[in-house]
Amino acid sequence: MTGMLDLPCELLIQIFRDLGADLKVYSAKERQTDLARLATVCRAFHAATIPLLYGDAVTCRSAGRTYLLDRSLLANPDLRPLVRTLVMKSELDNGHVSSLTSTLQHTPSLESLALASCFFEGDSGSSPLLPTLLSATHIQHFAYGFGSRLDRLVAAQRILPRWTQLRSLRLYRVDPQDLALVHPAPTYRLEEFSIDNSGALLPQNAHSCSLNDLLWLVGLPGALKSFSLAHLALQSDASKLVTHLFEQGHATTLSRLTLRGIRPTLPLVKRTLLDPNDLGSLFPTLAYLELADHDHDLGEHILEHPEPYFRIPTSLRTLVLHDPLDQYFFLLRSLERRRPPNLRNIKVIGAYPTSTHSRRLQSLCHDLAVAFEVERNF
Amino acid sequence: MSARGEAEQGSETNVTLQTSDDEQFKVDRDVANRSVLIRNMLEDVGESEQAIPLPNVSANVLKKVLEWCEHHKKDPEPLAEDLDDNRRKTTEISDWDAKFIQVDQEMLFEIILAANYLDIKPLLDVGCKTVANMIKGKQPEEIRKLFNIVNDFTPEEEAQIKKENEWAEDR
Repeated sequence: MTGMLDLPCELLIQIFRDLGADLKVYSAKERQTDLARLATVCRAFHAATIPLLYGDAVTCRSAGRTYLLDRSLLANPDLRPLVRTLVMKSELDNGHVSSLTSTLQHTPSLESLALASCFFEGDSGSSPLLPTLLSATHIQHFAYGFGSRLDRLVAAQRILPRWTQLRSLRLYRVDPQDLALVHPAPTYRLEEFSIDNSGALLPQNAHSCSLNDLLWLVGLPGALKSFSLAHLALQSDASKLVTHLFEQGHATTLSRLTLRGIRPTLPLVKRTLLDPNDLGSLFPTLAYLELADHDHDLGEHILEHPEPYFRIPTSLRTLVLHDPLDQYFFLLRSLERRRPPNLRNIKVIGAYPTSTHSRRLQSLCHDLAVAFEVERNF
Repeated sequence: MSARGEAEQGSETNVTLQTSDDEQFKVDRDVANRSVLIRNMLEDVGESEQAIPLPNVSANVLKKVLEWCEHHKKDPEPLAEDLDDNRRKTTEISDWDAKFIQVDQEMLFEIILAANYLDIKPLLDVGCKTVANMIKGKQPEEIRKLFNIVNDFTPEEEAQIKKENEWAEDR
């Protein structure tokens, strides 16, 4: 009788790789646990599981787990080159910096690192982690932050100029203020850049960064495919920011743009609002666009109301607007006039799904064969 | 569906497949073309009346596989990135496929082996995901029992592996 162990190793690997292919009901944490358990079933399962367990994103959520991972890597040199992605999201524990330092020293194939800012609390200059990170110049993808308070990037401003191979930089709850004053500046050429300060304990009117602070982080121009800012206080016009991205040669590479909840610190009279209708001509390959104003009613907005309606860029596949921009952009009128040839999805966040406007949009999208979704935010 | 029955209607587009137990199936070329292996063989030999031998597939399994191919004969070709074996496939199993793959374990693994041999990637995906869903969230002993697997580790080896991967266990 044909059984599971009659399958060749490559098919066992495919089955185990498919574990949790639908992540809506199965978390990465559950997958990691399942892979660890599968490794103990039998020798054939062990052989098929280990490359996945260590080749997936290796995630440690506590100091204890970091210690255990380090212990495994020290005892099993064969496992070390398997680790390519390391995620250290330890919010509460920073007591095992030495384990993390050792782990980083024993993962020669590491390409992607996600690091919680708590590893640099206090005097980052004396952290044993810093010299190791300074020499980890092979890192290509870096995610950093994740704390409840904004991190001033004291450690990161020393590390980033060394990492010339970096291709993506994702920052969470950070304060990039005054980075433009730091020398040397990074010389990497990013394909993906994002800052997301959602949920940070942010004092009102504190921590606003300049355009040059942001450009310091973006590095050398010319390669950006994805640019995303969320919940950041900016001492500049969003229109200037977008123009800079264009002038720096990202016009033909940028396919994803997110500007969500940016709080302008310039007074309204000194602000040039960003006209969304300019985006299509500035970025001809734009496929994903997400826009949300910080607080339109309080005058803390960066976007102009497009006239006579938002001309959806012809290259766009997905449009995400946060309420009330769907109404300020006159989406109904826009879609009634012309169906953008590549548009596949429209998502409106924060609107009432049963409102007249939402229903009319839904009906129109249905007629145009565009997927439409309303997501409530509470 | 009856692959054999439907095939008899138009012989020009039919191909004959011969199983490991010497049974022959005449099927529409569109149906047979779901298999990259058969498609390549047909392109290599051109028009031929000769049966294509499939020495690794028995009749009862081929019948089941052809049922899947018949249902999916008009599916668009997968995109190049979907054919990358190293990427996890995030698409869900369709209702029809989920019902189709409700078979006993022996047939399930036979279908997976046949899909792999015949190079029918979407069917292989359905089979692998089905097994993956059976494994999810189970303890090692439950998995051994479910698939009739003998633990071939010594107690010391098993303890060593558990210790080695303790960092990943959710407790």
